[in-house]
Amino acid sequence: MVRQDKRTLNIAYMGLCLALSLILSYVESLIPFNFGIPGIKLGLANLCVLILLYVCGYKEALIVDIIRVILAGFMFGNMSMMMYSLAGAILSYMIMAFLFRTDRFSPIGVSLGGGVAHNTGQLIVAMFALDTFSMIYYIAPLIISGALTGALLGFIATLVLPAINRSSELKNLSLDSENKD
Amino acid sequence: MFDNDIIQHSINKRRRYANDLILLAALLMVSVSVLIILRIFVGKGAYISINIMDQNGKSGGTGVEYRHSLDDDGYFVFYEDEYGDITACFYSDEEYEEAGGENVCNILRISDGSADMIYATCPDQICVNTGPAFKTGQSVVCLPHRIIITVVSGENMNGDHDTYNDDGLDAVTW
Repeated sequence: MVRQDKRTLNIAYMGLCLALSLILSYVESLIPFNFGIPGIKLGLANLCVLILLYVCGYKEALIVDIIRVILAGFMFGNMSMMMYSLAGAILSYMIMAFLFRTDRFSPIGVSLGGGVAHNTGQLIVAMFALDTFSMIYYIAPLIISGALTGALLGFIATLVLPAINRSSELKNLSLDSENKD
Repeated sequence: MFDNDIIQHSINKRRRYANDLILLAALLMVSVSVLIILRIFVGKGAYISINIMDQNGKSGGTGVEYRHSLDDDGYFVFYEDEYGDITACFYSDEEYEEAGGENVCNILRISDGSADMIYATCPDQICVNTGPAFKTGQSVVCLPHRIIITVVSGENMNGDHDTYNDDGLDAVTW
């Protein structure tokens, strides 16, 4: 019974985070973030992937990430931007899942790696799509900006996650063996 | 802050933040070393390509293109005549002091290996607000005046050497 309730709660959180990530993608599309690499994005929606990773799990975070890329690509971008987003999102998810699994980093660190991976993935796709090797020089500002946005999102996550944890539904379904009522 | 998380943590908060800093330092070191390695092996000087589209705006129309080395400091001054045609003229730093100021619509400054639009008469000023362009692929564009400036390298990815301006011409029209 507990497992079924947790799954329902996961679905609810996934829906919530998907909606949030679409809003963040919209906000992202309003901010002109142009380095001369077409289709590069700020990566704000990684916040939702991060939250889902901590609250629900690996599968849930990945599903929402991919769906978000597709939906946001149709809503706020074009096909070519979707390619960059997909590359950035997948690489970012892999790095974040890996860092999360090692259990040695705070959400800030996990998100930091995710932000850098997000930008790096986009850069690699851009280098192949535009057939310009010298774009790799962008790796320096991209690492810095990716680390900055990642750290910022991670910091937000450290504020949000305890609030989620305090919600009563989650307490009843806590993975801890004892209930903290 | 996240000690109360559902997931049991085996190491404490302080250690995690320390690890975060280590990760950040490692990433910065990676970026710096990539730059250093690239600087050693790929040290091609950069040029800018200045394109002025003609009033029809179609590609393949009679536009004008200049190539200029970013090592050659100076100013590109763009003039607009009464017909709306735009021409550009390059001045070195000394000549720039003497140059006249009539009908100037844009000024592009070449210094420190970068090209920066420092003056424009267009209403939106996007070209001026774009920072200096110094890396291959970066560009400074003034759409109202149909000026497109791109940083290009001497070679493309295939290593073909571009013998474009070996004959000493400053400009080519087609």
